[in-house]
Amino acid sequence: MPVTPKSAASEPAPQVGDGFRVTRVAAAGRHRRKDADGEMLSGMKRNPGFLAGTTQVTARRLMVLQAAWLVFLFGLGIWWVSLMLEQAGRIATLEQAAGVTPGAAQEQWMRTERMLFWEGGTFFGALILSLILLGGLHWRDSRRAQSLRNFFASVTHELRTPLSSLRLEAEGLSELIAPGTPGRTLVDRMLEDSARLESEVERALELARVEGGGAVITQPVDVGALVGDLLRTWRPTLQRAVQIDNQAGHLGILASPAALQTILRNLLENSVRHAETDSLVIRIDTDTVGDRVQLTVSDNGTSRTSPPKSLGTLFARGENSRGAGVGLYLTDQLMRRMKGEARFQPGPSGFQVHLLFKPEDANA
Amino acid sequence: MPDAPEPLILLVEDDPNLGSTLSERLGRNRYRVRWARSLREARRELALEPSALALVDVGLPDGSGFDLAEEISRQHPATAVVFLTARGEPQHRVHGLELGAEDYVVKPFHLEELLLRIENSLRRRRHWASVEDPLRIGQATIHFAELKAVRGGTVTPLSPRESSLLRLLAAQRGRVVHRDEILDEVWSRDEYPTPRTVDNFIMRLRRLVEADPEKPEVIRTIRGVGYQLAATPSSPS
Repeated sequence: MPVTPKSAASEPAPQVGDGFRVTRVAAAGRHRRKDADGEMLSGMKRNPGFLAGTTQVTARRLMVLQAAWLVFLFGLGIWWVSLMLEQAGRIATLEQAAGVTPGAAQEQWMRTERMLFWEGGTFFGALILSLILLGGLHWRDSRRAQSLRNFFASVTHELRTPLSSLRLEAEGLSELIAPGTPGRTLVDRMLEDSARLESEVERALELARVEGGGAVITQPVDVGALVGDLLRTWRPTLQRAVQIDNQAGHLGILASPAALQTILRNLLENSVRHAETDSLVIRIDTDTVGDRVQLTVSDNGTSRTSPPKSLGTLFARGENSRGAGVGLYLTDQLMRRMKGEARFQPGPSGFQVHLLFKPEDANA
Repeated sequence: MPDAPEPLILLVEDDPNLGSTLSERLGRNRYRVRWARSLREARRELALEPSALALVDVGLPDGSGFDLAEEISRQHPATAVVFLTARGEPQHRVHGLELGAEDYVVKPFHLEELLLRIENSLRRRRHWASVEDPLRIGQATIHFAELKAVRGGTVTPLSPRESSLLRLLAAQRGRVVHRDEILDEVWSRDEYPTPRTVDNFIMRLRRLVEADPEKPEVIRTIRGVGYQLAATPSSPS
């Protein structure tokens, strides 16, 4: 039987079932305003970099530092040569005053001068050679890192089309097979795995994009509307019951909607994957903290075996973690690119992530 | 009452698996679908029968979907364009929307969401088809297709969004247009604009069409609800 396409008015409501529940959804409409409580917690250490050891910005800073150091060494060398020449000149004058014959004094001075020029020349030559070597090594590393990033990006990019196809085919199958049958269970698992794969691909692509200096464009965003919309399509694993308590209010922030969706998906998936509790509750709320808007995602699970300081560091994994150490790093990087801040707070009663944004009128 | 004819969708997708599955799935959802695997095939299909909507992939074997979108908006203005692509970078998205596309959907996507976006795009086109172009609004004449407003000989360029907002208000002239409806119709589903964003746009439009933007008579604010374009076009002062 043909199915009529849904209109905006008949958008799917948050589903009950499949172990997934959305409670007290503040964002019932797409555009309503509301405030919520929150709490400020400690900050986190920043990340050292990716693939070549640095992000593009860090690499640029490092280059500037290297150039400054070389200029300093050059200056020091020139000062040393000129000082030595001056000293040699004085010695020659003193020798003449002491009665040494002008020819002998001149010869001594010439010898000293030759020695200084050779030593100075060797020093500058070595300096220039090391500069060329350093530059060459840096260029080679940058090219390797760029090639790796491009490869990474193109592979993940190419995966998007077959993933779309796979999902459509699995959705088609699920419509043909009656719920509750073994076949349907297999199809549901296939859909879940397809969603997981999509999520991993998206993370990898976003990581390559961010590390490659890709743009993160901010605009005024209604955070409550975005969270509500995301929760309508986000589904956790079939194996685990999850309760979402969405208290996000309709506050205006400066953010990139795509980046914020990536961050939120990461945090939700992290909670589902890592939080150790029998009944997992993920709470999302908003608050204003000073001149910033704070979005907090917290869960009630004991988890995150990584030491707090390494959270948000690329490829940093907890002892028993099943993650790749990318999600929190991406969160941190994307927040910084949006001129915001991410604060991670693991604790015995749950894990909290505070995302601090500029308010929508910050650039007015 | 006879059923409305099924809208024709031109699907431009070079991947055979995705193309055939999507054609079949769209067909099961009340749409007639023609599938083109290249720009050349797409041009041929458009010449044969104009589509209500073109679902266009960007990376095609014989060129870019962006070029096709430009051609469609020039030669088939009644056809809505929705991009369906793996290129999700912000600059591609912005470029696509600047070309006049109704929406920009990044792969992988949920079919439900794609259907919703298609339906929204078609509805928007239907509404807009009822609006004259050019149209006199207050002190200015709005040229929607050319994205410009002319007031007393002065030409002011309009952004696609300003044009869309004016067109929406004009399509419902005399009626109150709810703020949520404005957000849904004028902004894409990926954007989540705030109420203040709409206010800023309205403020800019009032400077164009009102005799005195401080005392608006053409675009009225209905407090707590939305906006209303005055029922009768006001004559130029």
